[in-house]
This record gives sequence, structure tokens and C-alpha cells, in this order.
Amino acid sequence: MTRARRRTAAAAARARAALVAVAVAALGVSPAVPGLPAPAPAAAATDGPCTDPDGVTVVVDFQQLGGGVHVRCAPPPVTSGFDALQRAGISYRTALTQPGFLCRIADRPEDDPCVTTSPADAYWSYWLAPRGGTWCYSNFGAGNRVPPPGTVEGWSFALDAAATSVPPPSVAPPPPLPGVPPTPLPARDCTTPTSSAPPPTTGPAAPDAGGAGAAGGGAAPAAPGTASGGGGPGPAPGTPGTTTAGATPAPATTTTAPTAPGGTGAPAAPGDSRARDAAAATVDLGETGDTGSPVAVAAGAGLVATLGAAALVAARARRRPAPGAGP
Amino acid sequence: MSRARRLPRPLHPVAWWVWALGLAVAASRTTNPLLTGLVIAVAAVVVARRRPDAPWAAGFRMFLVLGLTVVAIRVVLRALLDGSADGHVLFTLPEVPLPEAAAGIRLGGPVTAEGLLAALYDGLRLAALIVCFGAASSLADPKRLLKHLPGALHELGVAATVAVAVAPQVVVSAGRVRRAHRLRGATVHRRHVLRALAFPVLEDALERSVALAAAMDARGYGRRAAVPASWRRATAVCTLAGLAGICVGTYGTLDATAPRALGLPVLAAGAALAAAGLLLAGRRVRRSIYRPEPWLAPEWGVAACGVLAAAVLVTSGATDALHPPLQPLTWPSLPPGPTVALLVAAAPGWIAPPPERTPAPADTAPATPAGRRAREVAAA
Repeated sequence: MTRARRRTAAAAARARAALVAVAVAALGVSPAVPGLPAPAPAAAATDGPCTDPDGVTVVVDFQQLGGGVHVRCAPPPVTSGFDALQRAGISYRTALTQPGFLCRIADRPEDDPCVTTSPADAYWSYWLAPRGGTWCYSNFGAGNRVPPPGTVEGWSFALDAAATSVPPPSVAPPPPLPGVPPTPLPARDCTTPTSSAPPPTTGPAAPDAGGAGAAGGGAAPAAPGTASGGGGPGPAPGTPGTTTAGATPAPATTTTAPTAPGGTGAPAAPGDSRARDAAAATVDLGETGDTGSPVAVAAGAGLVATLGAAALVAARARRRPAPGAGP
Repeated sequence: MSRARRLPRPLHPVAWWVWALGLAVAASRTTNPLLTGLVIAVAAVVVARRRPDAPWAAGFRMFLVLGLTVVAIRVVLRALLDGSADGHVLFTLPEVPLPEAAAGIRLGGPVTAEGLLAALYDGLRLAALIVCFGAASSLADPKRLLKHLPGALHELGVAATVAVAVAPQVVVSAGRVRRAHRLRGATVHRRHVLRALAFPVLEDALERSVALAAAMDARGYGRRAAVPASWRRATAVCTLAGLAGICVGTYGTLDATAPRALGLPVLAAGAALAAAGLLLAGRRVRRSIYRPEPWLAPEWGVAACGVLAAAVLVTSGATDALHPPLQPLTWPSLPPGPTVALLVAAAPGWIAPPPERTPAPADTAPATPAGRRAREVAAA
């Protein structure tokens, strides 16, 4: 009880500090914000797929950027795709003029200035999947979507990829937890491939379904069924499919390490690059740039204020009548 | 240094425009609020110190207000339509539910510090651009700027000058017509205001135009210098080929799939051809210049200050110092190179010669032509 109250008080203080900061910034004096504590994750992020049925698994595939493939778990509650990254302890950066657009993960690619949206031939693509399902390209931006608990989020760097061949993360979504039916994705979140004839927009996801191993293959047809049938997490329509999927993956759990589907992987990512990525998988996912210091802000604000005062003084001086000019 | 430099005189308008455009280019290259704020402050200082007393120069405050409005609109709209929920939530507005078709758009809801700051940064940049143009238009006389159009565009310049002069003239003639009505003791009924006022004013305007045309004809306007037919053909070829080159080059630079050779090289060649065409066409027009405006050391200095600011910020590239990241939130830094370049851009407030001051009304000193014209317009 008291702890909860203390937490709300702390949150209120944080909000007040942020408010003051933005008010001050709006006055043009000093955009002071980094003093705010970041919204800290409630529980520590863990490596590997979630063991908590309500956690959101986050898969990051650096592809040609050479950072390897990483699977992490964002502990619940997850409020958005960005929040999932944050809770999984993965640093990211959004474009300055398009705050809903992710441009860097773990400060990569460094040559993206992150001012406007990334170029069409080098950007981070956002994928969704139910556990044990197949990847599909999200219809939503990561900031506009609340990932259902127990689902999987994928980030895959698309370099020189045509619109129809964006590579999904090169590891299959982790299989469902034993005995827990996987949460289906809402039908509107992404265009899930329907049975064997996928729509062209989700082309990259389809071959992955066939090649991602027995567990993934078995669960894939079930996922659309549950998603379109129930709309919610109700297990009724998809129960037979999900239970079989839940039963089969148990032995497959060990094969979901980042390098597992090396032989079966998506066609867009060549096997050799993945091997190289695995070797270079020492990237620090929490890596961020320098946060700077308020001293520069104070100095800059002082400069601007000095010049502004000089302008005011000059304007006042000229409005005063020149000596001896009056009648 | 010399005494002549310190004598009040209007600076060459082209120098002011080069300076202001340089400052605008510099502002467009950064979203750092410290640097964009510095641009606005620099422009304000120079305008406050070197603005002439003409009515066309009084609009700078309006540009400042316009810039502030732009910032305010951006921040308010971002608060209403903040798309992303992540970040430091400052407060939460009531959310308006939208239909499924509007997926990705959210009206109301949580407002984040990141979103507001992004709107502020972007708005400040736009405000800085507006203020730069405001500074140029309150420092440089637009009519004297028209004088410096290339010879080939001479007729356009004449048309623009006449057009600019129309509005005050209409006001003057309307006042004259109404005064005449009052002197005759006639009260104009509201229903007949068109017949009683508009027609005399139109007639007056027509008469004035005919008089102006006669005056211009008497002074030799519209005469063409004798130019051989081959020259004229070369002019036409250069201008047309240049324009076509500029079109193709623009397309080539904008379209990412077009071959590289179709981009900048064609654009540059087209611009060069068009410039040659303009130069050739300018030979048709022989003008003598009334009251030539000198381009002296202060002009060089003012223009160089603007060019320096633009060059430094363009060559700095798109770094974090020029575009402080908002995710994660960081303090904007004050990069030394761009800061010094922008401070140097404030030097025109001192190196430019002081502007001519219109003497107070009681003063009997002979008014300068610029001052007299200014007062006429003010009276109108």
C-alpha cells in the first residue's frame, strides 16, 4: 500500500519535472529534459524467449549490419512496440521529425542521421508473430500498437530490399510455452498469410512458414484460424490447432537459439551472412549515444538571451527621438 | 575605416539578400534549438541596428509574431495528434475514438515530452527561416532590388515596379474622388457607391497609366538595341535548351532510379545555358543607371558573413550536434564551429554602414529621395 503510494508520488514528481522542463523549453530558455528518469522497466529484461506467458518476446536481427540475431524478453505489461524494446533493454532511436519511426537499434546503422524517416533501401522493418507462428509484416507502427501479451515482435534490418522481399528476422518465432496456448495476433495487426496462397505483400513470410521447422510449420495454419475466427484470445476456434502446436514444440525448444534455423532460414538472408552475424553477436543492445550535458544548453541559452537583449536595446534606442530633433 | 564608410547610406540590397539567404540555409541545416534560436537572435540584432526608417522596413515584428505562431501551432497540433505513446508522458488528453480506417492516427491521448520537443525543434527551424526572410525584406528596399534584375528580365522588373505602385495609387485616387464629392456637397448614397466611387477611380487609374506610359516612352523605355538575327537565334536556342536541361536535371536529381549522369551534371549544364541565354538576351536592353549603387567593402563583408554561416553548417553534415536526438532524450549541444559562424553572421549589425534616418517632421534638413518616397507612401 505505502509502496504503491510512494510509487504514484514518484510518478507525479516525474511528470511535474517533465512538465516544467517542456514549459521552460517552450519559452526558449532551455530545453531541459534529460534530467528526467527514463520510464524504468518494472522487472529486469531476460535473454532468450519469454518464459512468462504474458511477456513479449523481442527478436532483433541486424542482418547485414553485422550485429547478429538477438532474442530477448520484455516483461509485462508492455504498452507499445517501442515499450517492448525498452523493457527488453534494447536501446533504439526514432527519427527527429517522425517520432513514430524507428531509425536505429543499439545505435545502428550509424550512418542514418535520424532526422527524417530512413531511406527506403536501408531501414528497420517491423514484424509480428504469435509464438510458434510465422512472421508477418506489421500494418502498424511500433508506437501505434499494443502487443498482445505472449506474442513475438521482430525487428529486421532491410538493406536494398525490394518492397516484396523484405527479409523477416532470420530466426523463427519461438515456440509456444509448454501447456500454454499461444496468443493469436489481432486480425488487423498484420496481413497473415492465408493457408498456402499468401498475398503478395506478405511474400517473405510465406516461405519461412514452410522452412521454419516442424513446430513452426504445424502452428502456422492454426494462427490465422484463431485470429480471424475469434478476434480475441478466445481459444475456441483454434483449440485443436494450437494444442497440437503446443504439444509438438516441446522437443524443439532447444533449437530456437539465434543460430538454430541456419539450414532452413528465410530465402532473403543468405546463410553465410548469418554465420558471420553469429560470430559478431557481441553487440551491446543497450548501447546509446552520448546524452550531452546541460552546460551547453545554459551557454547557448545565455548567448541567445544576450543577443536578444542587444536587439531590444537597439530597437528601444532608435525609437527614442534623436537629441535635438524634436520641436 | 575611412570616414566615407561610416556615412549613412543604404547597403546594396543584393548584399542583404545574400546574407539573409545564407542565414536561412544555415537554419535549414539544423534542428538544434540553440542554433535555430541563435539564427533568430542574430537576425533580430542586425535588423534592430541597421533597419532603415522606411515603411516597408517596419514589418520585422510581424515576421517574429508569425514565427512564434508557427511554433505554437506545431506544438498544439503535435499535442493533439501525437502519434506515438512511448516516451515520457507529460499529461493525457481525452482521446477521441476514431474508426478503424484511421489506423495510425490518434486524436488526443497521452502527450509525451519527446513529441512536444520534436514539434518545438521543427517549429523553431521554420520560424528561423521565416525570420530570415523577414530580416531581408526589412533591410533591403524591394524597389531598389528590382533595379538589379538582369537586363533580360528588365521588362518584368518594370511590370513588377508598376504593379507594386498600383495599390498606394488607388488609395490616393479614392481619397481624391471622395474629397471632390465632399467639396461639391454631394453625399454618396450607399447604393450608388460603386458608380460614384469605383468608376472615377478606374478612370483615374487609366489616365494615370496612359500618362505613365507616355512618360516612360519619352524616356526611351521599350526601345530595343539593334541585335543581329544570329544573336537572337543563339539567345532562343540557349534559353530553350537551358530550360529543358533544368527540367531534365531536376527530374534526374529527384528520381532515385534515374541514372546519376541525368541528375546534377544536366542540371548544372542547363543552368549555365540558361544563364548564357539571359546574358545574350540582356544585350537587347541598353540601360543607363540612375544613382548607381556601389558594391564596396561593407557589401562584401555582409555577403561573406551569410555565406560563411551557410558553408559551415552545410559542410558540418547531419551530425547529432546539429540534430539532437530525442529518443533517447539528450541535451542539445552547442557545436563550436556552427556557433562561431552564426555569431560572425551578426557582424553586419556593425560592419554595414548605418541606415539613413528620416529626419523628424520639424527638421528642415533636405530629405533624401528615399526618405521622401517613403513619406509619400506613408501618407498614402
